[in-house]
Amino acid sequence: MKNISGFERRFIVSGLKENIRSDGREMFDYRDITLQTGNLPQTNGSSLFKLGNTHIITGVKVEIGEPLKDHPNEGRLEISVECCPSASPEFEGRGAEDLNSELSGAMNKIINTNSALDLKSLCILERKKCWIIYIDVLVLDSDGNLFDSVSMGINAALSDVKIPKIRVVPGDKVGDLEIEVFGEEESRKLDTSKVPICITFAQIDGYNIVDPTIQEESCMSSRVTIAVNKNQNICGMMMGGTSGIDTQVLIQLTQLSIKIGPGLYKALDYMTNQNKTKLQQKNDLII
Amino acid sequence: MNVQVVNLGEVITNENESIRGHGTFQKDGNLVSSVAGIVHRVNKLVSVKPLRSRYHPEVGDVVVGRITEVLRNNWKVDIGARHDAFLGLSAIILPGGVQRRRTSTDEMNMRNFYKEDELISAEIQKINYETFKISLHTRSFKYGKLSDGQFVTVPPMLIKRSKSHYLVLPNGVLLILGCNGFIWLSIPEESELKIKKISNWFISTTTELQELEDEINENSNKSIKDKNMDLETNNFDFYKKKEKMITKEQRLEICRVRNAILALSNSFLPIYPTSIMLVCKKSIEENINPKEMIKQKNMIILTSEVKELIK
Repeated sequence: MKNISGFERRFIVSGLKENIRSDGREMFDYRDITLQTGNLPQTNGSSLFKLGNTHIITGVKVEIGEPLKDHPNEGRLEISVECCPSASPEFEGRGAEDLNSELSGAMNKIINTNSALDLKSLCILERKKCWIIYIDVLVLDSDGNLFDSVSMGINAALSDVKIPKIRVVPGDKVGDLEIEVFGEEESRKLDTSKVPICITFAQIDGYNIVDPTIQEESCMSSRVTIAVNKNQNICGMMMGGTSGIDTQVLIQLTQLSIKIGPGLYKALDYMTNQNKTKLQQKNDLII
Repeated sequence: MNVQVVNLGEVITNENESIRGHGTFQKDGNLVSSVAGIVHRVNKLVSVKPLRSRYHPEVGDVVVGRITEVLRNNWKVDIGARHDAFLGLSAIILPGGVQRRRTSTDEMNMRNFYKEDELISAEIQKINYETFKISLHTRSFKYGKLSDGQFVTVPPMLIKRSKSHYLVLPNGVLLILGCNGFIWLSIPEESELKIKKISNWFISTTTELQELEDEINENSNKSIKDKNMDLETNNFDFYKKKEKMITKEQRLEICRVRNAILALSNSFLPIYPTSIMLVCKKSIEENINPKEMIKQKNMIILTSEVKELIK
C-alpha cells in the first residue's frame, strides 16, 4: 500500500462526507475507461484496457489439448494474472506474488465456469481433445482497482477471440484421428454474453466508494468485490482487507452492484463496437 | 526560437569545436547525445538536458517531501531525487518560535514534530556533492507540516524555478509547487483574501496576465503573514494541525485545480499559476465539471489556450 499521512487520510474522509473524492468524482462514479482490442496480432484475441491510470493488457491464445478427467466433454480456460514490477514499487521482486495468485484465483473462480462460457462448445472429441483457452493478463500500470480492471480486460479480450475452424480426419495409423486446423478467415467467435465483470467497493470509515484509486486503497479498511453479469445476476463475491463488513451493508452493496453493472457493460460494448468499425474502416482502406 | 531536440545516439556536432557537457559523449570524432532531450549551448559548451529525468536538486529549491524515517536527531525525507534528503532537528522551528539549543528531550520528542509518512514543505539548505547529502530546512513560516489538503505528482521539469512557490490562487486554493514535481493543494488560513469568481477573470491581454500574477503574489504574502502570527501565539498547534473546516465549494475548487494540473502534465505543458488559471477558466467556460476534466477529450480542449500562450 502506498504511504499516506494521517492528514491526507483525514482530508479524504471529510471529502466523503460531502460526496466529493480527490478527483471530483462522487462515491459511485467510475473513472474514464479506454479500450482497444486486437492489439497483439500473434494472439487469438487481445485487449488493452485502461481505467484511469490503471493499464491492463490481456492476450488470449487457444490451443488443442486434453480435457480434464472429471469433465470429459468440456474445454477449459487457464487464466494467469501477473503484475509487472514496473506497475508499482511494491510489485518489485516477489512482492506481487500474493496479489498475482489472488487475482488469478478470483478470475478463475468467476470466469472458468459453465455459467460464464459454454465450455461444452469447446469440446472437440469427447475424452480426447478439447480447446484450452489460455488467458494471460499483464498489469502494466497500477492506480488501484485491479480486480475490476482485470475482469473487464478479460471480458474485452474474450469478445475479440476467434477460434479456428477444425475438421477431424483419420490419421496415418489405423484408428488414429488427426485434427485439421483452418485459417483465420474461417473462425468463430465465442459467446461472451454471460461473462461477468467485477465491481469493487472500498470501505473507508463507514463510507463505501466504488473504483478506488491507489490513494483511497491505502485508506480503506475492507474491500468487497462483487461479480455481476449482463443479466444482472450475482456471479461471485470476494472480500479483502482487515476489518469486517456489516451484513446489512453487504446486502446494500450487492443491490448497488446490480445497478452499476449495466452502465459498465454499455461502455465496454460501445467501445468494442467502435474498435470494430475502426478496424473495418482500416480493412476497407487497404482493400 | 530554434530548439534542437536530439534522441539517444544522435550526432550533435563535430567534437573539435565544442566542449562536451552533461548528456554527451564522444564517438568517432563526433559529439553524440546520451539522452533524449534538448541541446543547450553556452559558448563552446554543449550539453543535452533530458526531457524526462529524476528531480535534480539545487540549493534554494522549495520542495515538498514525505518523511520516510525518524532517526536520532534528524528525519529522512523522500523528495523524489536520486537520494533521500535529511531534515535536521536544528533546522526546524520550535513551537513558540523560541531560539535555543536542541536538547536530548527534543530528540526524544521528535515524533511530536514530524512522524513517518507525513508531508512537509521545506527549502534545500545545502548539498554535499561528495556524500550526496541533501539538507533541508523549514526555518520560515511558509514551510513545515502540510495538512488538510491534496497531494499531486507531476514530472519535475514542468515546474520552473520562480520567485515564489507558495501561492494562493484567485479561486481561493493554496498551492505549493515543489520544484521536485510534488505539489500540495489546500485552503489558506482565514483572512481577507481577494477571492474572485473565475468567471470575472478575462485573461487575454498581457496586462491582465500581469494583474493576475500581482494579485496572486498579494494574496500569498497576506497568507504567509497570517501564518506568522499564528505561530507566535500557539505552542504545539503548529505541529498538531487541528482539522480545518473546508466547505463543499472550496473542495470542488481544489479538485478543479488538481485536475487542471493533471491535464497540463498530460500534455507536458509548464505548470505555473497562469497556466493553471487558464485551464480552470476554460473549464468553467465550457461547463466542464471537475470530475470530467480528466477525460482525454476534455483535456485537449482545456489545454488548447495554454498551448497558444506558450507559442
